[in-house]
This record gives sequence, C-alpha cells and structure tokens, in this order.
Amino acid sequence: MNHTFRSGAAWALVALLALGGHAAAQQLRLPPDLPYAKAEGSPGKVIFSHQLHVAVSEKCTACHVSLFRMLAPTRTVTHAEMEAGKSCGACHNDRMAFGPADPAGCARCHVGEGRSSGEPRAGYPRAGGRETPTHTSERRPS
Amino acid sequence: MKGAILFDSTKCIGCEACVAACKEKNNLPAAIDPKLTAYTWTVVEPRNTAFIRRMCMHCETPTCVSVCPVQAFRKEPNGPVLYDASRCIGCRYCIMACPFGVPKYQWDRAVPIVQKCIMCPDRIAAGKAPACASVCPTGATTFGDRDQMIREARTRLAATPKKYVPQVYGVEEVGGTSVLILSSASFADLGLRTDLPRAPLPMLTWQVLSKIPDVVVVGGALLYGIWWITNRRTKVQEALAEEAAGKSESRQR
Repeated sequence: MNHTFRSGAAWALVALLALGGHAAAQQLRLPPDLPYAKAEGSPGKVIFSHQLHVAVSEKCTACHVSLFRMLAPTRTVTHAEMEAGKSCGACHNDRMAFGPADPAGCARCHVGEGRSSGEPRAGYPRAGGRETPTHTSERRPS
Repeated sequence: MKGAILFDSTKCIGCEACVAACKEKNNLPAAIDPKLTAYTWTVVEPRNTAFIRRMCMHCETPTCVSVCPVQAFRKEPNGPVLYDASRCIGCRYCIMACPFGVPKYQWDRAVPIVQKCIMCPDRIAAGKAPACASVCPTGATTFGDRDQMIREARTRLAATPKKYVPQVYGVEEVGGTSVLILSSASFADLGLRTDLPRAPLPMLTWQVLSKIPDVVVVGGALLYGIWWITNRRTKVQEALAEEAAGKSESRQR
C-alpha cells in the first residue's frame, strides 16, 4: 500500500516536472500586470494582464502600438474612450469580446486591489472570428 | 563599447512586439507594411520554417556611408549607422549600394528623405537596449557588446549544435555587421544573402578609387612631358627654319 503510494507520488512528481518543463517552454517574458488609475465611482481597480491577453492574439501588434503605447505605457483608460471603440473598447465592445453591455463583464476587468488578473478564468471568451493561437516555441509559420 | 543586436530566429514566435516598439520609438505611423518601407523600419517575415527580422544590419564598414556624396550617413563607434536628413540631397546612392536593401525612400512625399533603422542611438547612449530588443518577450532579439554577443551566439551553437546552422551570420559578412543572426534553417532559406564577400564592400571600389590620384599625377606629368618635348622640338625647328630663311634673304641682297 505504502509502496503503491510512493510510486504514485513519484509518477505524479515526474508528470508535474514534465508539465512544468512544458510550461517553461511556453513562458513568455511579458510585462507585469498593469494597474490602471481608479476613477471616481469605479467598482474596482482595473489591473490589465498581458498573460491573459496573449492567449487571444498571436500578434502584439493587435493592440500595440495603434491602441496602446508599449515603451511608455498609458496609465489611464476611460469608459468614454472605451465606449467610443477606442482603447480597451476596440475589442471589448460586446461583439469581439465582452463589453460594457455585459452585466457580468464589469467585475472581469474591475478586479480591484490584491487580485491577480493573470489567472485565466473559466469561460473566458475568445475574440470573435479570430483563431486562437498557442504560444509554443514549436509554433512555426505555415 | 560597440553595441550589437543578436537575433536568434529559433526563439522568434513572430509576435511583432519589436515592430510595434520600433513604431512607437521612432514616431512612425502604426500601420505595418509587409516589407521594409520608409515608415516601417523593421519587419518580421514568416519564412518556410522560421521567422526572420528585417532591419538595418549596421555594417562595420557600411557601403551607404562610403557612397554618400554629402556624408549624410555615418557609422558611430558604438554601433549604429546614422543618417542626417539635413545633409541628404536625395540622390539615393545609398539605396542602390546597400547589400541588404535596407534604406528606403519616402516616395509619397514632395520633399522625401531616406529612412531606415538607426538602432535607437539615444537609448544606447543612455545605457538601454534598442526599443525592439527591450520588448522582445522570448529573448529572440537581444542587445549587448558586439564581442560579448558573438561569444553568446557561439556558446549557444556549442550548447545545442543540432539546433543551429553552425555559423553566426554577420560576424564576417561584408566585413562584419552589428546585427548578428542565428538560425536553424539555412540562411538562404531565411532570405539572407549568402553570396556576400568577407571583405567590406567599400574595399571593392577603394581598390580602384585609391589609385586615381596616382594615375592623375603620374599621367598628367607624363602628358605634360610629352607636350613639352614636342613643343620644344617644333620651336627649335621653327627657329632653325627662320634662321635658314634669314640667311638666304641676306644672301639674295
């Protein structure tokens, strides 16, 4: 019994290491989470996660540099901009990705202090009509 | 320190962060052209088996610098090949001369200038990596001292020889460049020129041009000498003829 447990644990460790190695191969050196300034009446601070967003587009140019600067990042985004289809609203417009009309959407961006927004949550919608690429080192142009 | 960019195509995932950073740094229009243009100074080209970045190679002995009749181009000791638009007369010799086809002209403007990657000289001077190298999420584009980058590239070749073509592109090509490239596919497959000489390209014309002053001076002296001799010969003949004519005249009297 004890022996089975041990070998089971060993296999779990091997599997974990293999998975870890695989994850390391996919690791991208991305900028840290970007906290945006909290505006008056905001339900919570927006903390932007690159980790979460690179899963949606294989190109950094989907957002950079037409929507967001990258060397000197924008520190403020407004709902007015967003609703005009600029800034976050270029994708978060209720068509490509959840937007201001989605009542459950608020809390997905306004995560507030102390919460990691880097963890992909269940049911995270993919951008409409776009392929969902993987960031593996094996990926090569076809 | 002489700066150099090391591009390892085996690490590139084609995300184009470098392109976006370049656009932002140099205040270029956000639209990305598929090839190098005056408004897109670097591109990530998908090839058969890998991605390859196109950008100025920042040659150690650049052809653009040597051909420019007004010295609008210059090679900085710390790596970059810079361009001064205020000197440019728009002759576009640089465009014809560049072995990598890098300098591009603003064909859509009334008063166009030449444009190309300038390796973010202000960032390098401030001790930072160029914009493209600073944002690369995979470490495919890195920046550092050229000698150290060559060592780093050779370390990678030695560590995983099966992964790479056993050569660092840019160490010797056209006398060396400040952009070094590692690849798993052959360099020709990546669209890199493999027919380039090891010697700097300006040496080709220098071998001829350096002899021109000698040819002018020696040739000029020679031609002057021939002229002096023939001229004197005719003068002497004329004088003799005159003398002979004078004698016969006096005899007739």
